[in-house]
Amino acid sequence: MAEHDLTQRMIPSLDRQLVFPLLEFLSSRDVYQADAILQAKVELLSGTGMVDYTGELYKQLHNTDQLPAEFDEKRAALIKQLTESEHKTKHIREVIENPEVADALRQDKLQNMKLLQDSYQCTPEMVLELYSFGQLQYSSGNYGGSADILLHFSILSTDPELTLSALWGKLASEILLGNWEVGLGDLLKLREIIDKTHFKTPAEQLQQRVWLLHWSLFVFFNHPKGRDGIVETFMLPHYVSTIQNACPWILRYLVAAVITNRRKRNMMQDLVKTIQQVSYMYQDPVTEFVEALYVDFDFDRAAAKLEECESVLENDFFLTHAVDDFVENARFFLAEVYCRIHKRIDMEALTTRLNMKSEDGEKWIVKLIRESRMDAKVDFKEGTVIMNSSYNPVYQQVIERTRNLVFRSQVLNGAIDKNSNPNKKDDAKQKGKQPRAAKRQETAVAA
Amino acid sequence: MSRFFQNVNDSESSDSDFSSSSDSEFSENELEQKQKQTSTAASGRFARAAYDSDSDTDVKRVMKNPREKQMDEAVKLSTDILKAMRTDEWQAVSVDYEKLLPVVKKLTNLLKGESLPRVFIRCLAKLEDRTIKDGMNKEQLSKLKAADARAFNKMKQRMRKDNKSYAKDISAYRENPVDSADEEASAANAAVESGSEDEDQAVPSMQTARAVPKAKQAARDSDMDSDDSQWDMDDSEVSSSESEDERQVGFSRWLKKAPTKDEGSAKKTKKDRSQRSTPAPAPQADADEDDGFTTVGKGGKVAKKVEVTAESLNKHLKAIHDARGRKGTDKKETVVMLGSLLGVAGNALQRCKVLMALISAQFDESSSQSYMPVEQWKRSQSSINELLSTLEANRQLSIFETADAHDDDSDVSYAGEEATLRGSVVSFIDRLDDEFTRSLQTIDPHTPDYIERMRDSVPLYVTIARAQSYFERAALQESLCRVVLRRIEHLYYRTDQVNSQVEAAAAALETSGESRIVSGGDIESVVHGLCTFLYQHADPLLRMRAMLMHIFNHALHKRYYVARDLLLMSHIQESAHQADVNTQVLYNRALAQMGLAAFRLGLVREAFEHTVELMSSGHQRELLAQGVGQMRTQQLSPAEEQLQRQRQLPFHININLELLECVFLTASMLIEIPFMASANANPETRRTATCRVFRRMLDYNERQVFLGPPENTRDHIMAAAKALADGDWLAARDFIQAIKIWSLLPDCEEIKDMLASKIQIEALRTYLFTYSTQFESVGLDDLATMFDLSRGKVYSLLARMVYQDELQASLDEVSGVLVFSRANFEASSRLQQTALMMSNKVNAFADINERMFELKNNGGQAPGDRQGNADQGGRGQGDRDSRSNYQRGPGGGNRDAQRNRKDGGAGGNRNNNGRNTNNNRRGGGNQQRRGGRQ
Repeated sequence: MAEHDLTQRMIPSLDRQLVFPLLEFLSSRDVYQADAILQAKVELLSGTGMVDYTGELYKQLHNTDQLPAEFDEKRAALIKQLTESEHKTKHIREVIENPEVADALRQDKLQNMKLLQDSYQCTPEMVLELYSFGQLQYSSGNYGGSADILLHFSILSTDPELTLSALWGKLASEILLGNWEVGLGDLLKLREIIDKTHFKTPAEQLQQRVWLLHWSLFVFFNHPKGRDGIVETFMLPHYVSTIQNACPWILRYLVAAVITNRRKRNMMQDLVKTIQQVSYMYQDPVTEFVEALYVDFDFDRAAAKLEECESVLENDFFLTHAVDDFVENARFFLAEVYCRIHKRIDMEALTTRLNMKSEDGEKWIVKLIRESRMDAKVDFKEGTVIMNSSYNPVYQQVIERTRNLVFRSQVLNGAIDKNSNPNKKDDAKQKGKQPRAAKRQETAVAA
Repeated sequence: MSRFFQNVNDSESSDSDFSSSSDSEFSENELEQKQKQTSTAASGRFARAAYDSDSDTDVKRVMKNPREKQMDEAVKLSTDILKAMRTDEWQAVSVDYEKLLPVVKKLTNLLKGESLPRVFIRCLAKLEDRTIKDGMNKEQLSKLKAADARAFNKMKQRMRKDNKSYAKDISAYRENPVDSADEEASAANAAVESGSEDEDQAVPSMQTARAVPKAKQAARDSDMDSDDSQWDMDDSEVSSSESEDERQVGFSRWLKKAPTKDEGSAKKTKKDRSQRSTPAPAPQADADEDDGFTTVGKGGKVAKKVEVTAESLNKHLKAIHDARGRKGTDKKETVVMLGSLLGVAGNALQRCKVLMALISAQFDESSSQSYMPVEQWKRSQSSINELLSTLEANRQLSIFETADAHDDDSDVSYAGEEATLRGSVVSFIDRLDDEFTRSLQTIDPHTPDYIERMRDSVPLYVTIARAQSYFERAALQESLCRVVLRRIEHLYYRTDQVNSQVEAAAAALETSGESRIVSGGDIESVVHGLCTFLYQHADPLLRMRAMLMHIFNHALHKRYYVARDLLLMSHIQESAHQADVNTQVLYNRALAQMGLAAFRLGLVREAFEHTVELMSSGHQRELLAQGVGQMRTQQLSPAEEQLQRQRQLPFHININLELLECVFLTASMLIEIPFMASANANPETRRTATCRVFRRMLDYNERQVFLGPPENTRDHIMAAAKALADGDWLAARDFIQAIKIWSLLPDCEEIKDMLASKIQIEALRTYLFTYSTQFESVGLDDLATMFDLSRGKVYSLLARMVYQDELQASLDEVSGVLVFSRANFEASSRLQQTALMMSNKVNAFADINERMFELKNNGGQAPGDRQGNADQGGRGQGDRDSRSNYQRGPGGGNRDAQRNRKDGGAGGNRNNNGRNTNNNRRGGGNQQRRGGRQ
């Protein structure tokens, strides 16, 4: 299953700390060798401030109780840094937490800074120190603290770049804390900033968007309303092109989100196009399922791919909870397309295609017919479903099309009458009349 | 050889080089004027006599023998022609010419093998020059009166035909045209008929003059030029004696092939010329006459065996440098001088200096010609190579534009320390490459010469590569970028196979070519390395060019997706129209190549999208810089035309237009035929053709009463289209596969197979669209056998058509048939169809009314409103509107975007703002066309 695992592709676009849950998840599956994952974890964490945990993992990996000396050094240095930083920021933190100050703060950041400087003796350097303190907190795994501090910083800081990275830090903290609601808010804020800010090069902006796409997966797949959010965000033109350019594998999540979210069914057409366009560089069972269903209309292949999807999703950190949901909805999509194309359906064939037992299948189909209010009937004796196509007769069509003409003409006529200019009046009136005449003729024909 | 002599010869040979020919022409004109002047001046003195002599000659003429008479006639007519030609009265020329021919025929019989009068031959030669060699550019032609212009063209054709019989005489004349002017003068005189008989003194002197070797003569001419008084005194005598002489001597002088010399009248011409072309050489020539015409320096500077030493080298260099570009500087001489200086140059620094001067001088030498002669080019190239090897060998030397000029004499004692020189190696490379391109532009690509010339591209490539490694070492960023771009220009249009051959050949030639940018490997990575380097370091224009060439190269190698992504990611479409014309041409080329690549991959829709803009413009040639179109040139000024000619790409770089057209039409056919069928079957879909060009051709083809079997590519495609429309996929396939030009594509067989399967599919679709009203149901298996497709394929095709509402039908899985819905049947009644259409149109009508009203009410802000309206209404009108709007021009760009979004950008366009290909490409393309015409 390793070939469909996206972890390796995604790691470059994630933060160290964010990768950790992914690795943790992988170690619970049998996709990779346990040692390799352990090794990866150690390497991953050695870049962070979580020295103690790294040490434990190191021991586990090397089967020793001895830690290299560097761990201690690092630990000591870190603690020193932390206390120093804490000390330095003590004053400003106190000031900020003062409710009076919070009330006095306004939109204008420069004004705020001035206020702090004048009445509370806070220098810009102190604010900067706040940033590094937040970073340290985050690095050493104290996500709650870092989220708080970085929030304060992002309110106070006048440097847009640092504000941006502070927001990133806050988002990561919230993700790791599991505060999905707050995370979603941060995410949207970040999205707005990224879209609005003018980056030096388009590449930089692209990079930011790639990050956002990856990070948002955490939020979207955990937040109760996340599946709406993911579809809305990812289908924005900028993000579609980001996906196409930089990270086509994100499509898997987008497809899963669209499929598991029946209300977003109309997105399918656009999604299919996107999939087709990147199919030369990225394919996995999930996208192939969509392609088989909507491009080739090859139901057998689609069914086969659906089966593959199941195992792929099970081994995917983000989608593992959604497997059943996905399969169920994918079946629904399959059946929908199938019913739309066919006039008479062999129930037996359909149920095998849906990977169901014939009895379950029958029930499922009936349920489907009832739920989606399709005009279909089951012929039990023949074992078929007959779809009643409801094409409007021509008469009906003509009537429908011409129905509102009278009203429109009247509105127009009224508007013209209101118009004071007599020239225009005559002119438009004449034209206004014609459609009505034509319409009369029309209905005569239809009758 | 005498410089002066050379000069005279040059200006008189009067072909090939336009400037000199016009020069001589001018002087002839002047001569004539002078002649007239003198005759009027003389009229005071000779008025009486002239009158008398006129009558005299009249009497005499009666006595002439037939031979003389014809001769006279011929001479007269010839001179008339010449005169008329000078004043561009081509009608007169034509009339006279008609008269002249029979006369000459008679004369030939009379002369019995003796050669024809020189005036006649000269007349022919001049006519030929004027009509065929020089031709007339469009502007000149348009200045003429219509009748004259017609006569001119007629003459041109006649000359081509007639002159063959006199080819020998003419070429003989061309070899010795020196005396042309005097004859003309004499002829003019003869025409004036001022003949007094008793002034024969001039004749003997003439005779002697004839014997004098040409060169001396020239000198003597100028000698005599110096005293104008002589001319003033006896011009009329001499000229009249001239005409007299003709008759009296019995035309013996015509028979002489040797250059006749009539100094009396010639000297005037000579003088004019010498004054024009070489300001001061006359006395000099005189002085030098005696030492056997050795080298004559420019402007009085005689190239004696200069004793140059390393010490004095700087002085000489400076002198040459100062003389450069000055009027009257002998460029050849300079080159020779520098060559000798090079031999003396003692150290590397001096060598470099001399070489740089030498290279510039070598380039100067050919500045007036249309392109540098190959020999000269090779010399320049070897000089540049030498410079490069000197620089390679002496790494402490560097040459760049902003360096200090080394004018002091200290470089004599130069001993390998760091030194800088002012100059620009990259400009030499540029010039060399440009000259190479120019020569290829001028040489007829179908001659062996062209291939011969092409061989030089490998050494040139090596030179460029060497220059590149030099610049890399010297860290001259800007030069490096330019030269890298040059190198890509030599690589991008060739396939890897060809390029690896070139690289191999280059490796054999190259002496030292280490480079950071590209480290060997296959050609793809070489191109990639070079391009990436430019992306990182070059300025935007170079970057864009590099990008386009990279795209072209990817497309050439069938890496369509990579090319497409590169194009889309770089956002070139948005900025292409702001670039210079050459870049726009490159952009068009890249698009065309991408179209070909998409086609080779079987992406018909994409191929169509990429080529449609180009092919429906009607200016493919201009847009791809592969020739000047026929229609448009009328409106171009000569300067513009000249520019356009300069932009032309050499033949071997060209994209085969016929292939492009074939691909475009085939793609159009595969798209348009099913579309037409569905539009016929279902009146509610929009009827606007997606591809107008194809539709027009098809209509034209259908209007023909008699149709032969297809001959050319277009015929084949039209025949295939018709067969396809009938559902006869076998015939369509055979027609398409019979097209010979597919063999130009590298994977010809694959493409034919691909096309066959595409035709099967489209035939099936067309068949269903066309006959859907005639069937209640169709069996899947029947369809499969009919179109030789697998059942699964048919099934998926039908499923897609049903799903996308293209067909009002549904599949019956149990019995394996496609059942057409009843609504479809009902709709098939003619009346009902019409009623539906009517209701649509009435709706549209109401829309228009509302919009019009809003327009009147809201005044200026209507467009935005309309936009919204069309969008929200979505009554099938928005589409049509934006479409027609697009046709109107770039103003519709915005709406175009809208359409794209609606259409879902079917095909290669990713439908989102960031990468809205279609829209952008169109916008760009529109601009493009304008650019191409500039």
